[in-house]
Amino acid sequence: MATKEKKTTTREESQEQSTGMLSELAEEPELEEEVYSAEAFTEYAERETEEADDVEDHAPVSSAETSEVEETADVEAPSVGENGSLAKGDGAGHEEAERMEAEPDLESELEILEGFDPSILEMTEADLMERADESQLLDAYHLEFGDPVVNELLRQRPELYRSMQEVIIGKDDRVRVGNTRAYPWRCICQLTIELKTGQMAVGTGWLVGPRTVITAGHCVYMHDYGGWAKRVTVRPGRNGANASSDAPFGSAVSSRFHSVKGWTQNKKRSHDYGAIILPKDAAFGKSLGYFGYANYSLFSLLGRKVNLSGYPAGSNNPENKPFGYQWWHARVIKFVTSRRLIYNIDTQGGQSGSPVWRLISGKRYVVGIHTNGSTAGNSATRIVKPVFNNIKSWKNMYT
Amino acid sequence: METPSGSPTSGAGEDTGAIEGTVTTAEGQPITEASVMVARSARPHRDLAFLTNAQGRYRLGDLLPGEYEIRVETADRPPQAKTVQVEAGRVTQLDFSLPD
Repeated sequence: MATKEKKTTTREESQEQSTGMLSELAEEPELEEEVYSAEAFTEYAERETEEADDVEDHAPVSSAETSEVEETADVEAPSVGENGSLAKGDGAGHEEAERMEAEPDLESELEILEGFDPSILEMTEADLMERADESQLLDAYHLEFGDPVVNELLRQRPELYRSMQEVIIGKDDRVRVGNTRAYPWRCICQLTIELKTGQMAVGTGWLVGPRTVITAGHCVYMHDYGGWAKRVTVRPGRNGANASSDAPFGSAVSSRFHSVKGWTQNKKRSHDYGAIILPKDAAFGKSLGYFGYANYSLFSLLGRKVNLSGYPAGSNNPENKPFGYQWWHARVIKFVTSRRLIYNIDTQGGQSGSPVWRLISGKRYVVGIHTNGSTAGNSATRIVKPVFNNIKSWKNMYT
Repeated sequence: METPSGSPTSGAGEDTGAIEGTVTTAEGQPITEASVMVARSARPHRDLAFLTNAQGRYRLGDLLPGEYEIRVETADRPPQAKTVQVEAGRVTQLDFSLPD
């Protein structure tokens, strides 16, 4: 069915591959009953058309002067850091952290955390629908993606409509990360964002280099809150409600941010990504390590298992702490558009900016930056080539 | 469900709306650093949570028109959620009173 997987796939090649896949599906029975009105899809198709990719929209912008961009590769390897279990304090928990950093199962695509039921990934549509609360089922009228390739796929594969309905439904299966001193959890940062309007917000980011934290564009630039954030406090591996004592590696404050024109000037959801640059004396990534990342093709994403971990403001903690705990979840990528990933991973306010990563042969490669919640499908900015290039640039500028 | 009642022009974009309000105790005292977020909506929204300021006030901006369940959480009180309708170009007032 699919062509041979390529590592460097342009959007045009992805479209060609998708078209090739669709032609083989031409013999599938047509949809008998329309689930979504043409008007509903038209709205979102029009929106996607209006947001047609523009090279200029990926032009990087910054809150400060920046240097030129170097050419990049398509896969960047992760790093576990200079010191595996480095943490402030009396060393308590280091042994546990080292155990968690033992050689992972190279065959597993999922992180191993106690309490997660991997069988949910194998559930059939019928199983998931049975688990779902009927009152929460929504049709795909409100789906934001109107990618013509996806729409045609849905027309020829009617059973996928039911998959779209099941996205995000059901019980919250998130698992709390108990020991955030271990890799890769310590590379995920709780963000406290101070906006120019005086309001405060919370989000998530992840280390991609010694001094570079990647997050959602709207965590560093918010159009209706004065533009660039005033400052962001970064706490890698935070593990509790107390901002000071529950930050095992301390914290850093930054006012140096990066994003792209497509977000700051044109407010395009497909360009919702950015970076926070840590001060020179707070190069957390050197000791804690950082994630790898990659611009995988459609066939290396669609239907693949991915991990997502971040800092929801509502923690479901039995002590009812508002935020400060890291929660992980895993699911399958349900849909891939030219610029977004859609999945049914439970998320919550505060998780904007969380990494969505594939675990391949024991290494972590981020493939998306979580940005949006919706009962019809949570979504991430997909790391495509221009996104990859900008992330690499922001990483290499600050070492 | 709360219906929009705020100003048609105060802070909302042309094709988006906003929700703002105050989080207080049952006695009317402002609650600071309460987390306010969209708990549920069919409309795509930023997965951010906002914290109330010293006056207990918050603002969720740039929301696409539609129905939203807004949830408030604090460290020491039961959470509370309310459903509200957002209209383009309008700011919806939504206050919370959290008992002990």
